[in-house]
Order: sequence, then structure tokens, then C-alpha cells
Amino acid sequence: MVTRLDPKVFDAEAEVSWCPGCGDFGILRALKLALAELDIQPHQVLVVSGIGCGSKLPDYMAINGYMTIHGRPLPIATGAKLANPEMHVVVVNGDGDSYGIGGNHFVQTCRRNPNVTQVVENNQIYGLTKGQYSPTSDKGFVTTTSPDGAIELAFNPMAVALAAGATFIARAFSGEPKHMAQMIVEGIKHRGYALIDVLQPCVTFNRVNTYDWYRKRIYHLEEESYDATDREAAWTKAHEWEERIPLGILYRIEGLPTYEDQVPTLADGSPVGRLMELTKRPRPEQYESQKEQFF
Amino acid sequence: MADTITNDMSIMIGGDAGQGVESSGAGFCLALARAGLHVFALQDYRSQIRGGHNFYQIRLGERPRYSHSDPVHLLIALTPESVALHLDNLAEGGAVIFPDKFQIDEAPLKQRGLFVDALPLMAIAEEHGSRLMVNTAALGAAAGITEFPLEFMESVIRDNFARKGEQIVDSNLKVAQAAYTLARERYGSDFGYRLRPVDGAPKRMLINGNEAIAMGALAGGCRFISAYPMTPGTSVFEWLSALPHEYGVVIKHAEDEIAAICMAIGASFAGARSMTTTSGGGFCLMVEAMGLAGMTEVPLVIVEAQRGGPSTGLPTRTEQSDLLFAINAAQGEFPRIVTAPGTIEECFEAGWRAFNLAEKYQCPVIVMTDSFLASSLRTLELDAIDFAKVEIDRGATLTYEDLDQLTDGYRRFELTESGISPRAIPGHPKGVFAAASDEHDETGHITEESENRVRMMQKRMHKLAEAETEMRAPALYGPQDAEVTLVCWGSTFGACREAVDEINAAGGSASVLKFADLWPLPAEATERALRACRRTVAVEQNYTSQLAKLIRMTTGIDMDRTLNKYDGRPFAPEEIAAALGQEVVSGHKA
Amino acid sequence: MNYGQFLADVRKRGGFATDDEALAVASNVLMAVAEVLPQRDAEGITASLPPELLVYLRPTHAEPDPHFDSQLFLGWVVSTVDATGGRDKTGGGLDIYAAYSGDEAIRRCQCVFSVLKSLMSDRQQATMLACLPEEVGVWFSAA
Repeated sequence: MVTRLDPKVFDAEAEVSWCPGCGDFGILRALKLALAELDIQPHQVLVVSGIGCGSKLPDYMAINGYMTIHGRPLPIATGAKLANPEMHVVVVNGDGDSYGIGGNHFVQTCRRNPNVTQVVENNQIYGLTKGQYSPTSDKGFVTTTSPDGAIELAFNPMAVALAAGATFIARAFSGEPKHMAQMIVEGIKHRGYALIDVLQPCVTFNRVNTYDWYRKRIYHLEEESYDATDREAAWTKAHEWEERIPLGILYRIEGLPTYEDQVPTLADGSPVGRLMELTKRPRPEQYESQKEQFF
Repeated sequence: MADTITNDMSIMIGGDAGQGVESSGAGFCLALARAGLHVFALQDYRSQIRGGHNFYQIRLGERPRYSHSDPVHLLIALTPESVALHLDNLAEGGAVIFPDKFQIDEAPLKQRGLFVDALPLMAIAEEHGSRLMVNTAALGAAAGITEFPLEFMESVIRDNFARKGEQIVDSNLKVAQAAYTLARERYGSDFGYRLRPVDGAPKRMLINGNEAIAMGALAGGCRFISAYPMTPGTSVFEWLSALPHEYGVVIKHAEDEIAAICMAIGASFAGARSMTTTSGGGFCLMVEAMGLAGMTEVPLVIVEAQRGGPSTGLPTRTEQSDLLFAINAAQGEFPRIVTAPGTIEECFEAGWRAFNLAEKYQCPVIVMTDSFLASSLRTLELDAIDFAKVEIDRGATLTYEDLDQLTDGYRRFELTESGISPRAIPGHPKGVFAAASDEHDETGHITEESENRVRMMQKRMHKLAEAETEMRAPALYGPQDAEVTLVCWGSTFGACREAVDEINAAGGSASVLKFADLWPLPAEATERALRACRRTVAVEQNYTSQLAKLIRMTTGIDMDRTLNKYDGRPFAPEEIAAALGQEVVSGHKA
Repeated sequence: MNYGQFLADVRKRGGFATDDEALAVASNVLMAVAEVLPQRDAEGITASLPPELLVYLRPTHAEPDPHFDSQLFLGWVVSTVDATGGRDKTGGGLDIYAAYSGDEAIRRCQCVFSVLKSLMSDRQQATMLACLPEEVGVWFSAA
């Protein structure tokens, strides 16, 4: 991919704490490529993350970043977007962060449709706490907290997002950074909430869902005649997992208004824009009429 | 006929939830306010939409009133239960008005010297309008018995029912007039309490604490509020939500309190003056995220309207039991500021001042109120809410012009003498930075290096010491050398003040020391104020005397005595005076 | 060299306990190579290898992903390293095994590379080197 901007502008001097060979490296690379491709400058983007190995990502990039708390990057990103709709807001967090502790925010964000792009580093395990099963771990997955195999069914982010009303649902694989970057580009270009669930091996703690495991199962929707605007087809694809796992855009519907589009107070300017104009003494007369309701 | 007392009484409206007790009470208050009277109104309602006893207690007078007051001189009972429940709180010579269909044993009431009259309110309502207008009939009768000119009730009826059409307005007016005439006929001039319009009184607002906070927040530049409904914090959010769009306040009803505070943090990080509002239970959920704001130095305003706890507790009742929780909430140590307005005027100021404190010290600011202050109505002079006094201080917030001038790389968490670092609003090429909830260095990068950790802790905590220098000393009300000083915070000030006035009027010697800036507690000023007191009594709406504990923790000074109330009902001045063993000689006590 | 000899060689050079372990390492290294091997180069490189290995070297894409880098390459091999010692006893710090898994994975790559190189002509080696991500190429050359 020859990008419009040199992806190196996003390089930061920070010691990366990920395990050697971690899938997060691919995601970091793809995100830089995608932003460069879209000619988004470091100051024009805010990357919000939660807690988890992959949520350290903003520390390794030269961008506006906010590494927050476990499960909460979506509402924080939504607040930032509502305050400054001109900012590109990207959320990067893991499967535990997004689908477990932050599950409610995930569902609400899908139906809320803010113009926020979310990249989920889905490695089906808790890596930072060293190997406990996650919401997306397959049933029967053995870890330190599921010694007899996980009892719950795995959380299906594709199907949940679709059911909750998400307007852009895609899946990528950390072993294919070029394709992943394309998915992120499409997600950012999409007006509305975009989910890019990235399948990503945890090379240290997940010995089941390895690169090899994914490689044997993944295929690209782009290579089949697939209509991503077909909701029912997307529903079917969202449930493919055991034998074949589709990559690409599962569902995409353009032209719907974003949440911000529908906030009347944002029509003539943003809170940040107005705040920059705040003077030391606001004109009192603009508020005086508010007293009338009390007498 | 005994002496009559004019414009100094308490009126109560009691009934079931869903009977319109609140709107009748508010309507009566507004009529009184329009007549130039000062009003303080306490709402007492249960956490249900229908059923359960509610009441509305109005204290009125020609001077400002800061609390409700017992006993009650006129009870408008919309259910038989209201009579039974409030019988003991009725003053001798008082009156009870109720619809004649109630089966009420009038003998014990009359024995106590009460005017008891079963009025055909329902018949009047049905004759001139409909059964639904029985409350209007009751208010008309109340005006009649007190000789309160009906025109004030009529003006409120016109305003309140205007939306429902001329016919409804007319019917209500007829109902009120008929009930008024009947009451005048029955009582003539026998009732010892009168209401008269005050000539030349200025126009006043009738407003509660939440509305005042919301107005303050608006004037203080709040342009983002996200919240999750929780009584009694909700109406701050609702008031800002109802504003015309031109004010540009973005509102977000979030999926839960965690999302609510996180959205506010996100908006503030992006550069907007942001707030969230809740009660204790919701604040519990917000605590972890508040720590994030503390660690990443994001300004944030949280309004915590307390209610009876723990857990669901007393959802619609008042308490001051979250003070030490608010001061200590969240893991780890970080600066936060806690203020507690005690009056509605102070609510307005707290509303805008909180944003200045938050941006100046780049930390969370918690404004503590309680159900009583949040929802009690009081008349307020128009200039008590003075928008011209509002100042916006964005502290070390950098403008884009400031950033243009930047030569070195920007360091969001730069070590400074005050601990306050210049804060860039994301969006400028020279102000790019990442912040982390992990310990970080000056640029924001994550590090666990020991020396950096120590410097960063000192930097953040130093902001607390800086803030302490502008925290206000406790305010003394009453004589300097009083025999007893009531020490209080927040809404109990109103009852303490009224109690002290009565004690002193009766020849006693009492004062109030009121704390409003609670954290960081200004230690020296607190110590100085308390050393000047002869005998101290901490009056708190909680079980554990949390302010007294805070004072002891900060200054080592013990209160001589504590007075606590935790039944969810606000202190009445008489209750405080009685607890002090002081005889209260009230002008209208028989 | 036949398949059995290949595995025995990898096992010996890598110090692996079993042929199964040697195969796991070899197959993952080869599959990682397959990720970066253009279809046009595959045949030339694999001609001299035991046919049993070809299943792992089947190129994944006609044109490899240009952004497939050494970290991604390493990911395939780290999966074969026993990086965990059971339950976490490090109190949340960097896992003592995982910390060295990168070095171990590079060592494993190199042991497979060295056996491969012994079966390849100079030209085949040069072709393969050109396909590998930069750092991996360094490991390959040094093997």
C-alpha cells in the first residue's frame, strides 16, 4: 500500500512491552497504515483504549491517545466525539475489555451509531493477567480459571453487533496486516460506528487459536460473491466459525445518520469549539431569561 | 377571638402519590411568592408513582425562610390518612380542611382546639368542573380560610392550566372561586392565621437547589452533561436538557452511571466543560472512572445529591452520609475537591465555581447536596442569582494560539512548581499527547520507574495543597461569643440558622459554623474558627458524624457533642433547639 | 535427505526431545515462510526439500502481504515455545518464560533454517532470503 502520508509520522519512541510475535504488532502496524492512507495527521485523531495488552497501543504511537480503564473506552470515546465531532476517534481494545466488562457499552454503542471506529484485538484469552478464558473463548477452552473447560458459549461479536444495529461490521486477521489496514480504512471512512473484530493469536497463552489454526479456517468474503448490505446473509456469515471463518466486511449500510448528526445542539458548533470562545466573563444577559420560569 | 397572626405560618398538603400533592403544593407556593411572601417548601414523597402518603409542607413569612418548621397551622388533607398521620404536628388553633366524604372522627381534633371542617370539595369540583379538580377546590378553600386574596391562586391556575385550554382554565377558576366563597362563609374571620399580600415586595423566584446548580453550571460554561437518572440528582440533568438548543449544551442520557461519567471524562479530555450528576448509588459506580480523571488530570464536575443509604436505602429521602466516602472514593491517592453548598444561593455559585476549580486544578470536583436541598423550593431574590458575578477561569488550559508559540515538544504532565501542567486541548499539531491511567512520565508515556513515580505523585498531590489555599473558611452565623455553636455542612444550615435565630430571640446564645469547602479542608482556618467557639455541637443528617470525624482527622479538634438524624427526614429548627435543651419561644406558639 | 533425516536433524540441532516437537517447530517456521513466499518463487525453492514438507510451504497468497514483518513471522514460531510455567506466580509482572520466548523462537528459526540451507543451493538460498522480512533475513543468513 502506497500511502498518502508516511506511516512513520505515527512512530513513537517507547519500549514495547508486548510478547515477541504478539498479534498486537500487526494491529499497530495496520492502524498506522490506515491512518496514513487516509491522510489523517497525528493531531487529527484520538485513539482511546481500555486495559489489556493491546490497550497499551496508544503508548506506542505518536497520536492523541487516551489509555483509560477496563471496559470503558467506548463511552469515553463517545463523549470525546460529542465534544469534538471533527476529531477522528478510534477505539482499540481487547475482547475482554469490549465484550466482557464493557459488554453493555458495546451493545449500546452499536445501536447509538456514533462516528467512532473500534478495532477489537480479539485473542480469545486474557493475556495481561496471564491466561484466563475470555468472553470469546470457545466452549471447552481450558485455562487457569476454566480448568475443566469453559462452560459458557463463546460471545459472538459479529452477531451481537448486527442484532444491536451496528452499521459497519468487519473482521480481520492480525496475520494479514494489509487486509486489516483496508478494513480499518473502510471503517474510518464509514459514517457511523464501525466494528473491526481482529482475530489475533495470543502466542504466549493461547495454544489453541494459533496462526496455523486461523490460517486453516479463514477465507475472504471479497473473493466470493457476497453482498455486505444483505442483513440476512450477514446473519448467516456471523455464525460461521468452526470450519470456516469469514474475513472482510460482513455488513455495511451507508447513509444512515450518525448519533452526532441527530444532536440538535451540535448543528451550529461543538462544545469544544464553543469552549475555545469562552471569555472570562460570559455575557450575563444571555442567561437572564432563564429566570422567568421561576416566577 | 384570640389575636390573629398574619403572614407567619406553616401549611401542609397531604395525600396519596398520584393525587397531585406536589403540583398543588408548588402552585400554592407560587401564589404565595407572587403575593410577595417568602416561602420555603419541603416535599416529602415516597419512591413510587402511585400510592403511599406524600406531603408538601410550606413555611411562609415576610422574611426569608431557610427551613420548614413545625408545627403546622393549616392542613389540607386529600386522604383520611393525612389527618391521622399529621395530627400530632398540628398547632393548637390550627385548621384541617378535607373533603366531606372522608370518615373522620372529628371529636379528638376539636378537643385539641383545631378548626375542623369537612367541606364538600368533591361536590364543588364536580359541579363546576370535574372530580379531578378537587385539589383546586382545596386550594381555593385554603385561600378562603386564610383570607388570602384569590387573585394570586387564580393567576397560578391560569398559568398552570393554560396548556390544557381555556375551558379547563375556566372550570378550575370556578371551582376555586366556589370553594373560596364557601370557606369564607364557614369561617368568616374565626381562623387565627391570615395571609395578606405584601405591598411593594419585589418579584422573586421560586427555585430549588438542583435548578440553581444547573443554572450555575450553564453560566459557568458547562457544555456537556451525561448522566443516568437517579433521584434526587436527576433534575439537574433534566433542567439542562430542557434548555433551548442555542445554549449549545450537549446532553447524553447514558446507559449507566459508569458510561455517564466516562462520557463526561471523554468530553472533558476533548476540551469541553463537562459534568455528570447522580446520587450515592450512582456515584459508587462512578468511582473507578473518577480515579481515571484524577490520574490523567482531566477536569470533571460531579454533582452528588445524597439520599438515604445504604444500597437503595430511602430513595426519596434526605441524608448526609456520603461525605467521607466522597473524600476517599477510589483506589490510590489523588487530588479531588469536595464542596457542599448549604443554601440555594450557594448552589448557584457552586454550579459555576466547580468548573473553575476543576479546570484550575485539573481534577474531579464533587459538589455534594442532598435530597432536601436538591428538591426543597425557596423564594429567592432575582439578584441572588447574579450572572454578572460569574467568572470563567480555565486555569492552565492552553489556547491554540498558546500552542502555536510552543518551541519545545509539548509535555502534558510537565513538572511545575504548583503541580499544575499546561493543558492542551487535543486537535493542535503541537499539542499531540497520549495520557494513560498507568503511571506515566511528563510526556504521558507509561513507566513504572521509581524516581518518576515519586515525582509524579508529588506533582499531583501538590495540587491539593495549592487548592487548599483557596478553600473557604467555615462561615460563622450569629454572635461571635455564643454559648453554643452548631457545626454543620450542606443543607442542615437552613434548620440550624432558624434554630439559632429562635434561640437567640428567646434570650439564648447560639451560633452556626457552616462548612462549605470540605476537601481539602482548610485546616488552619478551621482550627482558628473552632478554637474561638465555646461549646460545639455537630449537627449532621447521618449516624456517624462524618464532618466531626473529618474535622478531628484534619485538626485534632473534637466536637463537644453531636446531634444526628438518620430517619431520612430533614431536621426542623424546633427539633434542633429542643435537642439543645433550649426553650424556643416562637411568636406563633400557643 | 529424506523426511525422517530432516526431522532427526532439526531435533538434534534444536535439542528437542521428540520428533513431534521438532515437527511442530519446523512446520511453523515453514508455514511462516509460506506467508511471505510468492507463488512464482515457491517451486524453485522447494525442489530439493523432502516432499512431506511441501504441504507446509504452499504459498498462502499469490502475492505476499508486503506488511508481513519479522514480528508476525516470529508469532508463528513463538507459539511452539513453552512460554508459561503454569499459574502466574509473578504477581502480574512480565512472565519469566515469555520474556525469553523471542530469543528462543529466533533460535528455533535458525535451527530450521540451517537444516534447510544444507539442502538448498546458493541460488535457492538467495531467492528465499529475498522473500523474508528484513530481520528474519538476518537470522537466516546467520543460521
